[in-house]
Amino acid sequence: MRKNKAIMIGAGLSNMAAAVYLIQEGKWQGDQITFYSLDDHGANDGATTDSVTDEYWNKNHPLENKKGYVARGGRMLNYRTYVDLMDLLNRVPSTTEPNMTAAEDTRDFDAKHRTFDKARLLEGDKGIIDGGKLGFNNQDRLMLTKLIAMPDSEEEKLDNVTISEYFKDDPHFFNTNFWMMWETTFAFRLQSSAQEFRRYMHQMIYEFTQIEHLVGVNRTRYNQYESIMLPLINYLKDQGVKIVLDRLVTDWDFKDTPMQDEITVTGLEMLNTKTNKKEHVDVDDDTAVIFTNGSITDSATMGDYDHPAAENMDYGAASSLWKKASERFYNVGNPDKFFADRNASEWVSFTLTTSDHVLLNEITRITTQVPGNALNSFISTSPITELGQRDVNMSIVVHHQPHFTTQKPNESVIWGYFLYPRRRGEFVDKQYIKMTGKEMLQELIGQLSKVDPGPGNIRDKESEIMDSVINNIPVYMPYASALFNNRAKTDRPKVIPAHSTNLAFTGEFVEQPYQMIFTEQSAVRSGEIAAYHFAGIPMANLVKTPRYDKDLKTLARAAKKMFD
Amino acid sequence: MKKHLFGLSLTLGAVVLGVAYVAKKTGFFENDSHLYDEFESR
Repeated sequence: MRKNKAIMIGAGLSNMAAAVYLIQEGKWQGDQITFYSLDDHGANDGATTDSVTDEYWNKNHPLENKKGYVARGGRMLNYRTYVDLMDLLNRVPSTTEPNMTAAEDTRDFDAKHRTFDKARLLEGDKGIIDGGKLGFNNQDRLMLTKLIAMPDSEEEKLDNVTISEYFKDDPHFFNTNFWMMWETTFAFRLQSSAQEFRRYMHQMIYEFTQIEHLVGVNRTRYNQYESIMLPLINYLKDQGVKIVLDRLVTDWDFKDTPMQDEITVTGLEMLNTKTNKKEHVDVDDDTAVIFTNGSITDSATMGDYDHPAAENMDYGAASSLWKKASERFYNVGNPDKFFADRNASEWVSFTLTTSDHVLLNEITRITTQVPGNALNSFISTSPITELGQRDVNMSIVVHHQPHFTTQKPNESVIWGYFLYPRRRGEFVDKQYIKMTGKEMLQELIGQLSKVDPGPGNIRDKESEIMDSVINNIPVYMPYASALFNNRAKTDRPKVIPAHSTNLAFTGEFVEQPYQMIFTEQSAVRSGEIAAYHFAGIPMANLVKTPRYDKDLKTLARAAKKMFD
Repeated sequence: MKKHLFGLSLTLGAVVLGVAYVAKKTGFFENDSHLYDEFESR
């Protein structure tokens, strides 16, 4: 249904995208669009620590040490599949590179800094291991082939099936190099949805042949807040879009209809988090409400070098509002599937800032690759999974430096994460979630020492490295993998639910054809669909999505790789 | 000669049918563009 005004709930990538498409394709004026949100960092944020410590989720957990930088999460790009994201970035100017769009900026940087990971998997006593040997047996090949061969029209067969359930008769699969690389490249867990795993196998099928080197990965010049979000924010502000932060939208007013199946928003309740006062905004007949109904960084909390990140038990701002809508309407999904199972979704990450490059140089020596290429995953010495198998216990990403525009030449920033935060460290005997930033660094140095080819060992420089630390910020994210949680297809609302007259859902918790989530691609496309719907633009004008899963050459290469 | 040609045609036909069957079973010819119809503005 065509509208002439829009209220955006949430100021993440998907709603920013919706606003850009409304302006550029729908020919709207910026002042027709208003955002209400708690912050505008997006899920893949990056900023100086002092600029984010007082944000909503961390306000009850003040930090003593606010130095250094923090990136709660991070995601690698991929031009070949992230076609909607690249289309979007081509529409806004870069904030750091004159006379370039944000897309040209990324393409320029990436062309000069191609990814070729040489140390994707590392194992004690062996050092770098050859991840190119995927390690499949015939049962693994059969199960994976069945998954890839399942057509889109039959994916409901995987409703409410976890990955571990799908491979329940084939535990060997989880001990392969393939699984250890796939789980840590994309952040799948054993409890994650087999349906989503299938979508990844389809959309990322060509990555199958090159996953040990990540050559299909593209990267932004700086962190994704400065290279993706800021260009969008600046563009929208220049267009006159109103972006109101410090607003927590808490409830809906819906139109009463006889069958209660028409979805029409008539008003929004919100809390001004600065004044702590309630506010009400009327929604008239000519206004669309575009709602990002979940965020993987909701309820995230930060610690510092001497303190672990506190555990925030809040349900999440966006998902709480989604839950209120789902309690009223039958066709807008089930948020509990994603936000009431932390055991399946939580992670801990850390962002380490040092005042020199000693650690960076040591990692370069041990992994034999320059910063910017790496996603290094360390395999445990002993069995750590519920199936009694070894697994990756931590991963690090060493970005090209500088990773932040304000980073000084002498500083290094390194990011890492623990996919299973309740597991215990090998070098610091406590759960990762309970570790301080200092203890996480000690664990990292321990892992690096285990795979150090010598001569000498990184341990020889441990005190020098510890002395160089400006800060190490642990971040607990209870919902980091929530978008992968086990689900049925009906557990997520469609971007435009049936019988909706003015409400659209965007982001990573919506259902749209073929798209895999936890990608900037699906987030942007959901916003694009919502914008086209309310601006009356035919869906045939959406960016065309390539289908590598139907490309015979790609399929043949994948089949060959399966036998390596 | 005719017998050989018949055999060859039969084999070729069986292969084509087999490929078509596998392609259909795996959704190779499925097109998802109609799935966007429900999102059109009315």
